[in-house]
Amino acid sequence: MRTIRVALFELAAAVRTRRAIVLVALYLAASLLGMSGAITALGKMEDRLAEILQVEKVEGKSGVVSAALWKSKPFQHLVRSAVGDSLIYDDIVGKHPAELIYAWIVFLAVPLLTVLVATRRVAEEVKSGAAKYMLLRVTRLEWTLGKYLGIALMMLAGLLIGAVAAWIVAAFRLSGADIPALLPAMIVWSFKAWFLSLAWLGLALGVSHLFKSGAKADAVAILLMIAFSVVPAILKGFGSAWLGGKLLVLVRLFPSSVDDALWRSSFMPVAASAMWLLMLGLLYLSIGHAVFARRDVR
Amino acid sequence: MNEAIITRGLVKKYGRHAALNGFTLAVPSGSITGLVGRNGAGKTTWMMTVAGFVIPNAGEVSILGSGPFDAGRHGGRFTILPQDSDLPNEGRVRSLLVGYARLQGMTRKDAAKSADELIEVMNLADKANASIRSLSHGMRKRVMVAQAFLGHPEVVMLDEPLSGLDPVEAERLRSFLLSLRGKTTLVISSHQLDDIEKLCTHVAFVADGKVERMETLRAITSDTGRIVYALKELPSDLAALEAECPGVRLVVGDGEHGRVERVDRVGYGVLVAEFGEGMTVEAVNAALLPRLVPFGVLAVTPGRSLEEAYLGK
Repeated sequence: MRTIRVALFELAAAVRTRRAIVLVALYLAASLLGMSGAITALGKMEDRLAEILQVEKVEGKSGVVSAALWKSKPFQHLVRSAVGDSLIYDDIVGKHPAELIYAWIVFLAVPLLTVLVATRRVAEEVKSGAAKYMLLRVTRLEWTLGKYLGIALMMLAGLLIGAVAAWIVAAFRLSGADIPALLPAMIVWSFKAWFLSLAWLGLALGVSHLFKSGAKADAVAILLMIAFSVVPAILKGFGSAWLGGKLLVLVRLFPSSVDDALWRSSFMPVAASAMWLLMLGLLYLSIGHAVFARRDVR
Repeated sequence: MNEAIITRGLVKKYGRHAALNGFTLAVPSGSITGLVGRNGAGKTTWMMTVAGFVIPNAGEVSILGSGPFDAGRHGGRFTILPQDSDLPNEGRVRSLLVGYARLQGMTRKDAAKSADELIEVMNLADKANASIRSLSHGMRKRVMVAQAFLGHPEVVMLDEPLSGLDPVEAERLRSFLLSLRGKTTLVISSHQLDDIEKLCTHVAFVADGKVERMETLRAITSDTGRIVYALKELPSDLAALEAECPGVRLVVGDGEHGRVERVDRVGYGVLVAEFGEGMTVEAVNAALLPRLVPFGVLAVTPGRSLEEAYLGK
């Protein structure tokens, strides 16, 4: 119960400091600019592809040629090769490009935005002494979990608002699809991205527990974010030769190695991936908390 | 349970330096205990350790007879005014206090009531909806003090509670703290020994990370073989008076010398009687007072001030 109160306290503080507004604004900007830019690029590609593949070129809104393209066998073959995973390909084939563009934008933006929003939260409160007023009333674990929950809820709000904004852009600029059906689809992608954010949030907040300086926490979290993105790719490429098949399971300790499954449509792989990402987030957080629980708050 | 806080042999080291070096102290329930010591003596570290902010290398802490601080057990029953700890700038006075009270487990109604009471006590009614950022240093300090008393805790530790307050607000806070005497256990750390003397029932002298002496204020200030008399006029022949009271040495005070209870009079003399361990305050008064009556006795103050006792004057 007190964890929830800490979460609400964190949310209220985020609103008062306009931190929540900044986060929502960042998501909005990412969604609007990303979606708008991607649709413009899509329109140009469609024109070019229509010429190359000798399909009918449609003037006006983008999306019509893409819808036709999805149905063309050569294009399907191209996408299947690019995706590299036939299960993911089977699930995304036929989806409207706007939906996939949105998914790509949020999956790309979420790690960075999460790290930007969360990394200073513990470090700065410990430095200013404000943490003491909380830790008189709640345990360190309740404080940690409450902060995690509060920021997670703030991220979810940002993602959902971003989804609606992106959908509005899509509705104005796209054709060739059932536009109203895009909104629930984008909201589902937002929830998937939210689960991805839970892993990165655990990392950012876990790092924040280790430092008294927000700047140091920022620097370390960004370095780790880069490392956590690059290392699994390297391990996937060369890991079996270096580590052997069994040790390759270590790759699953990195969020970016698990998020592929979020592209699937079937419930089970997505749920398993989402739970794994949550577990990873809690694992990173618990490492940070384990250090914090044994350190002085001066 | 006679002790609200018990610490035994607390050790806290920072590298080679021991901030606490076997700090043993039992704070009696219902007392107002003052911690007196030089900068770096270990007062703040001890408070931070008792509150669970600092993790000791060795030693034991027990609060209200139920072990070291745990927010689950002690939240709302034990609080602290920490030194040099900013409140969250984005908060507003009332909502912040209500929020803290809610975190202690109080209902919304009780939290609001407690916050409003303390806002009144701390003279912050006109700033109840102001943001912390907009408050002056002294006002922030009053909010910090207020948070420590939310929900009527049983034990409150206050690190330099009066520093930064203007004289009017300092007096208001003193009165509030005195009103809690016997009801709430208070531990006060302050370099203002006058304040400690006005407020506290017990005093601990702290040096080099441990308690050198812990006694009641009366025991510390009254067992020093001195009585200070404030007189309308000073006797001219001190030697004659000393001859009539064997074992008593009389010295004329110079204002800096000797502790005098408040005398509502401008211009009076101070006579200090010093005596050995074999004599008591009562015996000296019995012998000396009748002889001083002709000189107009305004006040009789046995012992030394806390400051004198601490400085070993």
